Amino acid sequence: MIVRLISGDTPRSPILTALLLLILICLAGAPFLFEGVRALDTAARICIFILLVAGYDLLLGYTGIVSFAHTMFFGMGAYGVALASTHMGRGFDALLVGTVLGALAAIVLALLIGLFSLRVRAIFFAMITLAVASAVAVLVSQFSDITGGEDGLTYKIPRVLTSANRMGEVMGVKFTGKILNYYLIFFSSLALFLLLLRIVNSPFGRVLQAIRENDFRAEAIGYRVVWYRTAATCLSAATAALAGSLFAIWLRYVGPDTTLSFEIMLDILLMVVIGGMGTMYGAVLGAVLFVLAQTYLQNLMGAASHATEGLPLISELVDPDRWLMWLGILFILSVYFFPTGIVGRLRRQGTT
Amino acid sequence: MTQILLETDALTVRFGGHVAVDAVTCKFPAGELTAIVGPNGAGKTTYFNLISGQIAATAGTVTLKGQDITRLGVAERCRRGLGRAFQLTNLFPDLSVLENLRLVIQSRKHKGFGLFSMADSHTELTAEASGILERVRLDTQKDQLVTELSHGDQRKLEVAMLIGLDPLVYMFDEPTAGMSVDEAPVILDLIAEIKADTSKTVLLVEHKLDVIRTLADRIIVLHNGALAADGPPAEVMASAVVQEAYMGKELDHV
Repeated sequence: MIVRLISGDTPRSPILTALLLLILICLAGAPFLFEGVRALDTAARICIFILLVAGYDLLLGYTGIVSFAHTMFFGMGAYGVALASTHMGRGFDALLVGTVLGALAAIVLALLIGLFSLRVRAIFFAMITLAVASAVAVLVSQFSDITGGEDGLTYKIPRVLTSANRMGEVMGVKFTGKILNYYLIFFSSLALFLLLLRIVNSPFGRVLQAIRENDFRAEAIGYRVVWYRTAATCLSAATAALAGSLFAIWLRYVGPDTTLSFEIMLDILLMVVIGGMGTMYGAVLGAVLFVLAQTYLQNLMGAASHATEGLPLISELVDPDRWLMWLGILFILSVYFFPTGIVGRLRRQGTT
Repeated sequence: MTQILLETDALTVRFGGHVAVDAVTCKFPAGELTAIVGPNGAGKTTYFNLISGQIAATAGTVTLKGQDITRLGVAERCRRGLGRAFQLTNLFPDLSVLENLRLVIQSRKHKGFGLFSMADSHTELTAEASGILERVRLDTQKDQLVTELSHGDQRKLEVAMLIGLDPLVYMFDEPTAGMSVDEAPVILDLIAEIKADTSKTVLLVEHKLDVIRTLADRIIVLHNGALAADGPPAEVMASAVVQEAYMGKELDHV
């Protein structure tokens, strides 16, 4: 049953299995296991980024296509929800309409980009996505009447999903709409992740891997490579948009910095590479590590800086403002020592 | 009269000023094995590339079962029954032997866009792939990755992939090149088996004269991209052009 649920794609390493189970339990029980608004916020971000990164892995790791437009699709889902909630008023109908329209718009745009550029060469596709994503980011900040420009949009979501909705206590924790909202995100992300896992293990997924390995031969045995690449791009765009919608529902705010920025695009790339490309589970580990580091590394460094106040150079080095430098060093080390990512490394250990 | 499966009419390709294949007109009827011979650089593989679509023709046409396929892409030609095995091994290196072959059968059965079923649950594909692997004697290595196979085994898989496509036109490009003496007969027996099916036609680029002698119903000779001879083996082998192609004499002087 469980093997079917994960499409027969078992972690194939005891340590990896343990880690994944631990992550699943922590995320599933986050409202009850961890205290505070910040912890819940981090857990929600992790869920959303797992989905976002897994969708990117479908493209980068399984099909071998580099795209820089993943945050654009992420943003389309987020702005879909934001715009629908602004214009239709708060309500589940607005959330649904925004999500569906955002995902559809992402699919259509991905289809256009794919058909125009994937015919030629994969590197051309990377450049086109970069250009289109930059153009969209500029448009979003220019058309401030519609999109709120740099300030973004703030809107209301159904009351049921906010902390104003108190539903009594469960296990000593006040069960509010916020927790309900969290579970909406958790279960949506989980379901979509399992769907992605199924897709990469389907006949279609095998064709994508074949294209990654040898597109020339894939074409020669009768697969129309352009169509498969385009379909993978559309699927990846759709999951990014859905992740964006979830993010918008969680934050009740969208702006260029939270959804469209190039920094997030780089974060996604790092998460895929650190976790392990072409494994799906790599997305889980990459997203968890990265979001945790982003949220707590600064705190940790603050404490370390405080403790080493007397020492001149060290307290400077561990100053919270240097957290990006440390993240960079961690990234270089992980790429150097685990070129196949954490998952690749753990799996190899499992076989030898 | 037997059906003409494949036909090239004045098929030409120019690379800059160089004419790699020069107005080759040839008909390939069902139930026949045609060996294509000629010295290195004569345009044999380029001729294959033109037929299977990897290279676009400058002029002339390729016709498959009476339909003009000159403007079609590689995948489309394959779907219509043009199967090709490659001279340089050209597989999916990080997938298993079974997975390589299953991809071929999956393509033939148009199951590539199955998104929500598990690939492993298509047992009919696995069964067919296993059957073919037994025929080429690769069944014991079916779970190995292609990168772990010996050169000879990779050649066998290359042939197995073509059999998996079950095409109308089989195109072999030196199928036994680099294989050991005891491995090659397996492949040659398979080609003989395919040849016995009168609804198919086989094109074989080959250098080894003994292979040509045992398998070919007909030989065509390419020289500098042009068709230099076409006929039954005995006749062509004795002709001056083949003597030239294999002995290295200048054709112009003959």
